[in-house]
Amino acid sequence: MVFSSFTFLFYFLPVFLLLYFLAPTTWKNAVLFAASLFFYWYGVREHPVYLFLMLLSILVNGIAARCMMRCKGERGRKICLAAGMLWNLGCLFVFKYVDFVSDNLNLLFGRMGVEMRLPVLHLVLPIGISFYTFQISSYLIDVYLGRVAAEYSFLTLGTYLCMFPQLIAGPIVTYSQIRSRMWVRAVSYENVEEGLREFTIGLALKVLIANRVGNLWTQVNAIGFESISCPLAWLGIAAFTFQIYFDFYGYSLMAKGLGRMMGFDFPDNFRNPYLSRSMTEFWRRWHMTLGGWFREYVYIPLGGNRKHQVRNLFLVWMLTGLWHGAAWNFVLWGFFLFTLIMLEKWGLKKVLEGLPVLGHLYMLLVIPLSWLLFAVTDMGQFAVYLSRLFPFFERSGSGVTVFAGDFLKYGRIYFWPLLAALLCCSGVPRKLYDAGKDTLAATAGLVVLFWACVYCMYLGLDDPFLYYQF
Amino acid sequence: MKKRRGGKCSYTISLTASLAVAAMVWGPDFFSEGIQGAASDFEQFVQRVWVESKSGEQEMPEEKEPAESRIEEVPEENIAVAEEDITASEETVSVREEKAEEEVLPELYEADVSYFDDALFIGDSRTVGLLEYGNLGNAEVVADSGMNVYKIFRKEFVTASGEKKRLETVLTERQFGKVYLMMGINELGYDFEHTVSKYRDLIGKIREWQPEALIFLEANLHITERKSAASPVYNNENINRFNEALADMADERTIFYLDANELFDDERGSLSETCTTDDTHVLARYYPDWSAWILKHARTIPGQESGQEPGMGESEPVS
Repeated sequence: MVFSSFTFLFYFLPVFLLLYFLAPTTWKNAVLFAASLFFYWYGVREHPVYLFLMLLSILVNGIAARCMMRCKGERGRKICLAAGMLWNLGCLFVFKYVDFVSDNLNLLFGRMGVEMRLPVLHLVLPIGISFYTFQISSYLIDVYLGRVAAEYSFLTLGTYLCMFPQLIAGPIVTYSQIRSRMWVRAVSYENVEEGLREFTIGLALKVLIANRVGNLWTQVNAIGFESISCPLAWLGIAAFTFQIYFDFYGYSLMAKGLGRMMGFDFPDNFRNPYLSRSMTEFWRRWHMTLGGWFREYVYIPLGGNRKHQVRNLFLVWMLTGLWHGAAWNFVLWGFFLFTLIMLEKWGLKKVLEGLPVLGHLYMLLVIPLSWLLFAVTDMGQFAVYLSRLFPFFERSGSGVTVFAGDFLKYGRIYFWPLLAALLCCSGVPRKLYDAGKDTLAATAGLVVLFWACVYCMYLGLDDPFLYYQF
Repeated sequence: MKKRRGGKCSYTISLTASLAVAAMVWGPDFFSEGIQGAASDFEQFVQRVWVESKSGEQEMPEEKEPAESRIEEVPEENIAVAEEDITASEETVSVREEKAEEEVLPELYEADVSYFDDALFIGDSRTVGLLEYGNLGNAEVVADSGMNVYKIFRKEFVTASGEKKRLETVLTERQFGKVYLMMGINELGYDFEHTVSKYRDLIGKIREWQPEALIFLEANLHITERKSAASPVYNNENINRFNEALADMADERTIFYLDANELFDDERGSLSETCTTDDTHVLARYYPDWSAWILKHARTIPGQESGQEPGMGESEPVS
């Protein structure tokens, strides 16, 4: 169930809120857990077994954590950790990466002359598996490291892992961050009000901006990369750049708002990333909970800045790339990010920070290019798109069939959403809202935004959330 | 702490109030539709998952609007207004009941692009694609994304000269040698018979204003098998059904049926996946092939110079 759908907004959410707020305090977690299970089941109803997979994950990790608490020695605890992580990463591998590995091994062996037919399973990815695997892993590792005591209640652990606001697309919340709220949550008018406001803003960002500009990117794909003009190529990748940000940012805000309504305080995921002046800075502002996870559970344990920094960074970025998808373009994307970050560490960053404009110009070039690598899975198509972005490098000159007026046509159609996207990237609209949010204008504005979103959803401008393949 | 205008819960209260109002105004329809929709979804889900076979005679649900990702208008509005536009024409496009008088059948030949100098193309986003990416020469094109026979007369189109004109204006100010029509896919959500009769009306009107022109009815292109399987309305069975109705309207003397699907179909009669990325439209680079194919299927009345002077040969009024 996508948050920006009628099913969620007008069927699931009102019923859930009613039940949740009417339920006595000790029942609230149970209501949340049950609703979340239903929410997840609805999303995987074509493959209901995936619901049980998730429940099994809770069970395995819960038991592993309890065993850890009971172990006297370090060795026992290590075994529990290894068992739990084996399950977690194993599931992720089987459902997400096995085909990628099989295909490539088959290819490799074929090249070496050995006939190999490793099975390709064609499994449908269980939604949210990348997110909930990382989330439950953070719990297990935190118990191992002694940061948090094991949770003995299956209900509480289940509620933590499955709660629907952040089940499918994050933010990735560690157990230590949220433990204090699991049983003691304020139910207040303020929470509901602030949560609803946050939710509305997120909804508007997704429906009114992300979905609209996303249509432009879809259109560019439908035309075929060989047939777009250079300006349209840039416009297209700009559209994708805006779409992925506002889609994910909007979704994160909606999750935060929903959590807030229930008394949870989810961490932020974005902090005006497109205002960054270096790739290093960008990844401290983009998908912050994922960056935080890799830092806490991969980078620092491996030695961080202190030992083998280059190796550690390399691993982190390759894994980040792979986490986003099981395909070579994601690996290349990770490597591209690693290269930039290394260059920045070796002096580029100082240069960029010396002159602010330079940093922005640098990011203006590098962000769309990195998203292009992220968006286009086929390397041949990627090369075609590059040749449209930089046509002077191409030998034959123009594209295959190009409509000369395409940039003007689509620029006109998508002018307002693109402009809105650009403005919102600057963070200024949010600052204005924060300054004026106690005014009647702000309240009225939110109501108008809400109904504008409903109208757009009614017209069918619905797009699958980009990060849903996770 | 600034005091909030309207109280602590100003937004919650105003939002709930607006929802209550909306529920009273639109609620009953929305929820009954929603529940009906959910019920039929559930039914289909059950059929698909447990019964494991699509039931053969599935009733096509009458949707309020086609599910293309374009802004569409509500059909009731369309039908009401469109009826005013089209005066009832007694002449309907006949099928093959034309009296067989002494007449010469037009010949099929391959023309060059000057054939399009006196051509008019009417259609939806595919015709727009032909205009933008194909080679239509000097043809006049009256087309828009999402266009359908219910609103074809109401829309103002940007013509080759840059002016905005309605279809009626375009058809009455100038005589064309040939008129190419391609619509049908955007109407799949509406009642089939009604759409067919609207299409006939359109052809009747064209014949009335362009007595000498050859009319070419282009078959709607298929969509991919994957997309076709995903919808009870937008699928190749329904497209084929409509195309067959189009073929019936052709008389092969002044009204011809053209099916370009042979260019893009795979072995199973669906759009080949190599030709598309959105499962619906062919890639831009195939439009020149398509326009060239149309030229290969040019027609003229024998005895004329190929494709230049329409109306010099025999032409029967359609009764």
